[in-house]
Amino acid sequence: MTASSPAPRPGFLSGFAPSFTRGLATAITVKKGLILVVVLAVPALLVLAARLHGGPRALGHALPAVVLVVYLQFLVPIAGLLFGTGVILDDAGAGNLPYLFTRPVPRSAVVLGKSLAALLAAALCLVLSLAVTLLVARGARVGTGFPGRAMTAVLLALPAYLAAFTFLSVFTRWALVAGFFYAFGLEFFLGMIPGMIRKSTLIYYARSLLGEVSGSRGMLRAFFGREGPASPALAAGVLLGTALLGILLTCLLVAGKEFVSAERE
Amino acid sequence: MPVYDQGYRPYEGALRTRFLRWWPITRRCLFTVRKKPLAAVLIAGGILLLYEVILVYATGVTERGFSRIVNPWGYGDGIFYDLLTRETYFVVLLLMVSGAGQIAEDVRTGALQIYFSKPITHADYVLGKLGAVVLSGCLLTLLPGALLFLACAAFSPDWSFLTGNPWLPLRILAFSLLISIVLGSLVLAVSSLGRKGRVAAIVFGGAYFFSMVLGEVLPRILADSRYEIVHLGRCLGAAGSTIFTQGDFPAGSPALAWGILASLSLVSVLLLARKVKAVEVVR
Amino acid sequence: MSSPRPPVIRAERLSRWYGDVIGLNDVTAVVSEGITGLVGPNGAGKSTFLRIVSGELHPSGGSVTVLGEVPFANPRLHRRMGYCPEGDRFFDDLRAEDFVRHLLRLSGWPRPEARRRAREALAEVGMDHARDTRLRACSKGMRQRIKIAQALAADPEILLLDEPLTGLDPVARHETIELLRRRAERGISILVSSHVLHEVESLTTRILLINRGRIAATGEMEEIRDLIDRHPRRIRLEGPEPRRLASLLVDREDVRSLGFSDGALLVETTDPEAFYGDLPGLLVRHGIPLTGLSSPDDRLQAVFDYLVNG
Repeated sequence: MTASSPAPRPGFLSGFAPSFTRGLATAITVKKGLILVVVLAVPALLVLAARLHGGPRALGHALPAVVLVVYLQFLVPIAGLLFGTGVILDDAGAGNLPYLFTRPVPRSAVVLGKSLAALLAAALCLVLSLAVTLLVARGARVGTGFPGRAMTAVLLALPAYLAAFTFLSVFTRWALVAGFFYAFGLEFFLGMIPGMIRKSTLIYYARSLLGEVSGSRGMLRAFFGREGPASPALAAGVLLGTALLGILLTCLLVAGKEFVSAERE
Repeated sequence: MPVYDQGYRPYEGALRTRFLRWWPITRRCLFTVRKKPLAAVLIAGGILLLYEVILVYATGVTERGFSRIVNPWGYGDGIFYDLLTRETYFVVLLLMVSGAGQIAEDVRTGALQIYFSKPITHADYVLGKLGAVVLSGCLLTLLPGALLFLACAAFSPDWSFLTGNPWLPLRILAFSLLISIVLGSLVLAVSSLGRKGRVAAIVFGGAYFFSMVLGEVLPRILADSRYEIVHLGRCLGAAGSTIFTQGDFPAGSPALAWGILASLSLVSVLLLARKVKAVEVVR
Repeated sequence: MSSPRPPVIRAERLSRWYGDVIGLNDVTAVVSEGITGLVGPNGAGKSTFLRIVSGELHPSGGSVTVLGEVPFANPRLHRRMGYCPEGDRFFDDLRAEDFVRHLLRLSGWPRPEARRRAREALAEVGMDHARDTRLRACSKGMRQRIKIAQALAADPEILLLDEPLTGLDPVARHETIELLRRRAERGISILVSSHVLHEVESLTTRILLINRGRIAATGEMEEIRDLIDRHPRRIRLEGPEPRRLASLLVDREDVRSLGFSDGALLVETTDPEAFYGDLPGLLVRHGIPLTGLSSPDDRLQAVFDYLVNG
């Protein structure tokens, strides 16, 4: 082999850019894409069912419920889990980490590139789905600002969940189950307990961005209690702060952590 | 020099091995589940539910006096029905840990080919895996149910609890098996679809919780509470209500629930029969 | 006499545990320029040593430096290092050329240069025909060569190869050995692990013999052979009458020394084969019971025999 150019001195960007590109390319595989298309089409179908079944009045009740329960309490956490835990665990499971973490670039550059690719892919899927849902629900009596608030809530909650679950996956291969327990157990449970404790959940702040949504039972149970929702600025700040803190801690931890294969442990 | 056929030939002799050929597979799988700390945590969480239920029971007993021990709040059946339906959540999480990788990991690591190089049939393999997930599920249904039964019997001042609820053990067993078999066959079917246990766990858990979300939203949108049945947990609850004669479900729901659960299990088994193969074509 | 080669890898009292299992046990070793073979049976600790040296793992105790730097998560060092891990599964979804190119891009090479280098590296290992084949569809031997290609592609100063010849057919094995020799002649240092001694012998005469997490021997192959052949073997004999037994052995020509330790007789013999042959007759003739017989030096010999004889 002829060495025509000198060995480069790679920096942060050298690790970030290829990781981001590959992360995007692998974020949505054919199989995963098919599942996503089916799942992401469901909210629009639900809203369509409401339109056909009950007309604009029913639509006014259905749309907030769909945004709140289907998007904020299900799709956003599950997208965060699917894409967030995949940032490290996919490569760990596939045996790629020995190659990635012995490159002459900071490990944090690789993780950040993959995380942002995962976030972009997840955000694209959700935004597209929500846009279609809102389009189907046009004319619903939900107030003029609702679509914007819904989009903001989804777009701010997603990075927070994704970063939190990515951070969790640095610690344990079982981040997925732990994440499920958090998103579909603990958050739901804490949301029903009166008092300040519910302010420790991400869903509280995501819902705060949406404002009060009527409902009296099950997952739609009145959520904010006497404390009421957080102010939009605080909610946005907490969600963004969680996202930034999560990704920062992930990068810091990955830099010093070794990934021993399960067989050796 | 004779030229021999070098192709693969199926073994045409009679298969005479031990009776329960699937049992070693089940045992092996249970052994690997035992080594997973998270599975232990989830089982402990499930058992904690039992503690909570016993506290409620004991409080009820104290408030209402021992004379009304049998069926004070419908406790004869209701408390067991309540416990088992609430354990379903933990069973789902446990199966994500212990069941989602069962077949996917065998495909990925090539263990499936090793299994089928032994004198076992596809049915043995599937039964073995099913045995493992059903037994795992029973750890969070049958075990707490049996413990609660023993606790109730122990708290009872006389034999009235046992004599008053002669069919209760069978009901606990039946509902436990229903939950474990339905969820177990579903998780295995999902596991057989791919090569990654992690993705299988997401799909299985996602499907369960997605059904929960739909079960909340659909009745609201369509103004009809019967649509709650799309939530797999409610569906299991409705079917279980016919076992325990409990629960508050709209007319027709339990029958529909049995139909849905039977169809789901059948589809899962068919999927397993179709997907579990010793040969993988690499593209 | 040639001047001593400067050390490339220096390990001091290096240890590594995996939970309760010890992978490396107090290893002190120096690897110099050129090709060095890391030889030992399966489970000896070769991969653990390479994984620490490559910066994939932290040592649990002791220290290691490569080209004067601590390897763990050290981009400055990884710029100068090529590493071929042991695992057979990696980047299943990528095509061979994309795999090598992706890793070159991660090493900072611009896109066109990465493509050119990836193609050249694949051609060098004889895999240019498999450029567009997905790794999951490659045979074990093909993947092995593609792994070597990615390690060579960036022209590193030091190459760490974990069992690189496993899964290769004889022709590919010969070609790979020639390739590594050519690279070594160009001045790069190579540490290559194997559990087959004659494989390593065809690459280098300098070996690091490792067994049960410890360095059993280090140096030139011939020196190790001579050392083992010439080295007097210590034999520990346990029984109720060690002194009487010693009096019977003291006149033997092959016995260099006798000693006592914890009630046992320690014999140092220059001809273990003859000693072992004569011992049973001697014991029977004089009616001396023996409750235990062991040799602290047997392990090294056993490892060496295993490696030499396969």
